[in-house]
Amino acid sequence: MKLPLLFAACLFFVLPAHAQHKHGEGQLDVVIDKDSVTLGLELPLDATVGFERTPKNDKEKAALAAADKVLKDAATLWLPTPTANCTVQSAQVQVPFTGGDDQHAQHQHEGAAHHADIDARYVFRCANPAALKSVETTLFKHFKRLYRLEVQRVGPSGQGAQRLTPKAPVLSW
Amino acid sequence: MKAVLLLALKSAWARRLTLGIALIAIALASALLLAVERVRHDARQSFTQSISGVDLVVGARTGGVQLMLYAVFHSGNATNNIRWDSFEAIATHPAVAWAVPLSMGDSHRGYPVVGTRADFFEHFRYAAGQPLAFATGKPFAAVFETVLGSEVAQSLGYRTGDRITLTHGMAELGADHADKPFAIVGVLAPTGTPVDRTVHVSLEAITAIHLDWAGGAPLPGLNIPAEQVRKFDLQPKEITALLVGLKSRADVFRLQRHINAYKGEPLLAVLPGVALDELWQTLAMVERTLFVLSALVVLVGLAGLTATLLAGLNERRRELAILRALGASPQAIFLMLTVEGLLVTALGMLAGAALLAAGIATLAPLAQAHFGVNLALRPPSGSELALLAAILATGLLASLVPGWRAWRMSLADGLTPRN
Amino acid sequence: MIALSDLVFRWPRQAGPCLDIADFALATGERVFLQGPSGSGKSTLLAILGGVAVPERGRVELLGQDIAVLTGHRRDAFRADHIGFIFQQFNLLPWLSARDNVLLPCTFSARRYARAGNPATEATRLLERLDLAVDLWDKPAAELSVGQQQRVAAARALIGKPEILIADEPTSALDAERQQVFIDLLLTEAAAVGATLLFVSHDQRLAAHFDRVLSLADINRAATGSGA
Repeated sequence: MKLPLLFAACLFFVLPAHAQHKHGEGQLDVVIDKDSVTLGLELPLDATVGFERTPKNDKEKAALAAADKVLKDAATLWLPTPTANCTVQSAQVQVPFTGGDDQHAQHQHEGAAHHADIDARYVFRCANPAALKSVETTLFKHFKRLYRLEVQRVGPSGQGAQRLTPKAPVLSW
Repeated sequence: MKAVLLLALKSAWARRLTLGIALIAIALASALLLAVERVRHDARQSFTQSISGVDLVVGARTGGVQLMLYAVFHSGNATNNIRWDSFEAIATHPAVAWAVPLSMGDSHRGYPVVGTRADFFEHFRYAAGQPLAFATGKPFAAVFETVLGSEVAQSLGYRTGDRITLTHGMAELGADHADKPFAIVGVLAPTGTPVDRTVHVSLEAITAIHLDWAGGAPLPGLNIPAEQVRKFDLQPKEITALLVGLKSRADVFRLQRHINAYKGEPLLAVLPGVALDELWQTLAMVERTLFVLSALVVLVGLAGLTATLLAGLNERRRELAILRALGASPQAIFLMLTVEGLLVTALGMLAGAALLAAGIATLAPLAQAHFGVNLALRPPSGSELALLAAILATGLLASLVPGWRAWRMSLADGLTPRN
Repeated sequence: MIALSDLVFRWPRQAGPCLDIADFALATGERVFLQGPSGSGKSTLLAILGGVAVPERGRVELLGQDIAVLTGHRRDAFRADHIGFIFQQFNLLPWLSARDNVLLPCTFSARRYARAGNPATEATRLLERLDLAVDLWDKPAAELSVGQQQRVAAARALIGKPEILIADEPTSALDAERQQVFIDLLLTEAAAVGATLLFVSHDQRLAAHFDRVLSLADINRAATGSGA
């Protein structure tokens, strides 16, 4: 194991520490368990509406509402392998500054007073889970400021990491 | 047309020396390209398969890379330890199926010593979920028993029943725990993972050999004989890291967050599969550079072929005119040159593949011993076949140039070449 | 057998024509000596007769067929089937044996294969007739002397009984004595297969052996031939 070790040792110096919150970068946690697919999404508010504070005017309020609407439409946002026959079970979306629940999102990152994240959780159930080999996202089409989604995936084939971008919006395993 | 192709073969054979040199260049270049692809694939395999079946790796809060380095690859030192009560809190969490503690810091002749529990051998998985297997012996049961990884046993010539002593710290010339030798009770089968290079002992053993030590050196005047350590409480107060298996993988992100927000002390939980993937992704640059370089070497080899064929063309002007006089069409002349180049490419490519196979057959043990990369002789993979097809296609392009030139030449020359 | 009429040929990117021949004909079985120094358009004429060059206008009739109107492929096949060529030198593929060189036309033309009867026997017969020592037959052509090579070339031109033989300065690389022997052999064998022979040379001394002597300068109305 010396060579991989050497690689790893080099990486130790080149790999930046995991950033907690970067504008334009989202996090996606994917769990594939039996016939269910759970997607946990965390997006910087900036990547969706361009600001991370209480909306100042009606235009900004409308932007938040629009983002909320897009994110709640799970069937358009996530496209699992068609032959797996997956349907949306639930879609919980928390957009800050849009209602009573925004306290949660605002205070998630301690020490990052001026940051706000969108948290969303989607559950799909698949009639033919054996065929499920990929999930495509249309997030990048809706949110042009979003340029990267770091994915952690756990499934029957093990764990893995992948980076989704506007040019490569398909998560596959 | 068949007649012309047969003549093309005979003609090529007559020029076998120069064509042979072009062929060797292509063979070496193809072998290099295939080797880069093979090593890349197999190194990645060895790397990402070094741990599986473990849902989370937990350590004191540092970088995820550093945690993976010491907990999985046993390289480098943990800056902080984890308290035993943190381990118990995680181990008894309702979502957790099993948790195995790891304690590091000592070594034996350069190989890392890991203190753990016997259920490590039961839970640890590598590659596609393969469990550890014992080549000889069984897990340790008593305090001064040890289980060796296959490479440790093989390179140091140890067998079950031999006795070894451990060294404090990772330095090969550190102070020895010479007063407390360990009996080898088991040797693991090879896995191609860091386990092969590890000396496994019980957690209690780690406590026991440090009973009469403080601050990295033996306490002067204090010497607790091995047979008396049982009288002491060998329950460790701290460990270095732990491996966690979950009841349901669906809980992994929830538990990860839970551990990262643990109130007792700052902890870090990483998904090992994710961390290894991320590590490898950052290597993609190096990987791509190597690939591009070797692809360029192939291009140089094929350019050499084009040059050889073009240079030979002037000397063969007369030959082509004779063929024309005999009734060969310009198209046949074109085909003759193109087929010749394609043939040299194909033969060179096959020779390259054979060269790689021979190289792997002879060098695989060295690669395993020195780089830990497990290279296996096997038929070409899909991506290797694609590479071979790409070489052939490029070879065809490279051969079209002399083919086209011969075609033009035979049209211009007619029956009497102008020299 | 051969009939050119109103023929004009111009090399690409050249103002004046290189050949302008009103009428040039050879009867079947006729043996004609065509005298022409290099640069008189001789090579061009041979290329047109061989079907590797096509005139700007005019007819190129061989065996009653105007080959100028054929496709390139058909002209190539026509050449293989009906014409035997002998050039000044370097007629042979150096890496083939003398025997295999002789057999070449039979691999390019099914017609000549068929007309040779048994090609292997026919090759042997021709090599014997042209007086090539048996121990040379299976040597690579490159190891033969120039005179030997020319005789192998003649055998190759004759195999499969082509109707037309075209010899372009075939003796210029030979010494005077061997020239005589070679021309005698060629005339005899051409007569034996009933071929029409067009013998092109600048050397007037050889003209005596032929039925008819022509000068390219006389039949070519183009002021100057091209460099070829």
